[in-house]
Amino acid sequence: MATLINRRATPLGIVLMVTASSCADPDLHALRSAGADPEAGRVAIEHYDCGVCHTIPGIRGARGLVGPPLDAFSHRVYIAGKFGNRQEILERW
Amino acid sequence: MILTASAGCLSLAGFAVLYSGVYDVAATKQHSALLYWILDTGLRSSVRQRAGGISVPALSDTALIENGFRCFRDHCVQCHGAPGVAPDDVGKGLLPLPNNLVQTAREWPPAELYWVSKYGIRMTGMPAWGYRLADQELWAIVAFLKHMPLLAPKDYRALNETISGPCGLPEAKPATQPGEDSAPLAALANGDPLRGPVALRQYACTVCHRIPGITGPNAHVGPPLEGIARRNYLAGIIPNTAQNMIRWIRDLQAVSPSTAMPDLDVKESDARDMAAYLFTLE
Repeated sequence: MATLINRRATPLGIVLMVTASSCADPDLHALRSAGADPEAGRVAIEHYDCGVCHTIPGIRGARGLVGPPLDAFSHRVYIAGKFGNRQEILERW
Repeated sequence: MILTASAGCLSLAGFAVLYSGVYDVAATKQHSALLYWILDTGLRSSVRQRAGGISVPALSDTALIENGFRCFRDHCVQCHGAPGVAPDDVGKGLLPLPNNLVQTAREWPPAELYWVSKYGIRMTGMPAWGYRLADQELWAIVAFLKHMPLLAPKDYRALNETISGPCGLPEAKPATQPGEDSAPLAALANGDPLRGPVALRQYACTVCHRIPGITGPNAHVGPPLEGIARRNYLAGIIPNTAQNMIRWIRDLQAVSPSTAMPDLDVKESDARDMAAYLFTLE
């Protein structure tokens, strides 16, 4: 995780934001407008093997049970039970 | 065929009413007299039916009545008020309004007062106290309720001034269980998985967590608890074992300081029941 730079963290954050039912999300719109690409995020998540620890919908083989599941992530109120679920915080996380 | 069509039309009409939002759920809007009668009659009948088999202990002991007063003061006055004492704001805005318990105590038998205190009344503001108060505390409250019609407001005021201290008895410490490391997780929790769902609701867990098998909102404050039995870690910090689950539930701020999950003051036996149920969620 320490090797992630902003360029990759942004699409990673955005693909987590879209793993949910349809809703319009201000963070998601802002990310898309800034050029962040959920498809690139999906690729990044697969590349960094997040699914080894987390169960993530839409990511091939992501059935990990070490960390919590990441379904409906855009609806989650907190990140890691401690931090408000907003784009800039998710990127830092 | 006509019956099927009629049933279909009624269902459609029902859904139309539901989704249109035409029914006003505001607590400021009063019930019609008919609806009020239906709800009230249904309530009395249901409680009467369920409280019927409860055996009532002796309720005239002074110490019991005094302890009941402390519990009544701590927990009941905020909504129900007392002789000469208004309820707090929370008790004024509810629909239905909380009864004046002096009248209720005159009209209801002790077993029914106990039942309502312990199990609460759904779809009203009356909570279930059974998970907060032990049976002997609930009966103490009933004892005081039965005594309360004898008190003029000045007598109640005098009681309030002379009797100090909070409701309740200290929680009994359970004996430790030897040799726990090798048994299956659900057994290790040493709780009752059938009581687990009730405990999880009575500590408001479903407000923040989606929990399979328990009806509740689509909560996303905390992570969902589907498959929790197979997860490797709790809160991403401690290994997922029966003892750690109980430790997490009861002492989570020590495990993870600054977590958003609050300390809900869970009794040990309730935490065991919760853990026993959660470990069935594979």
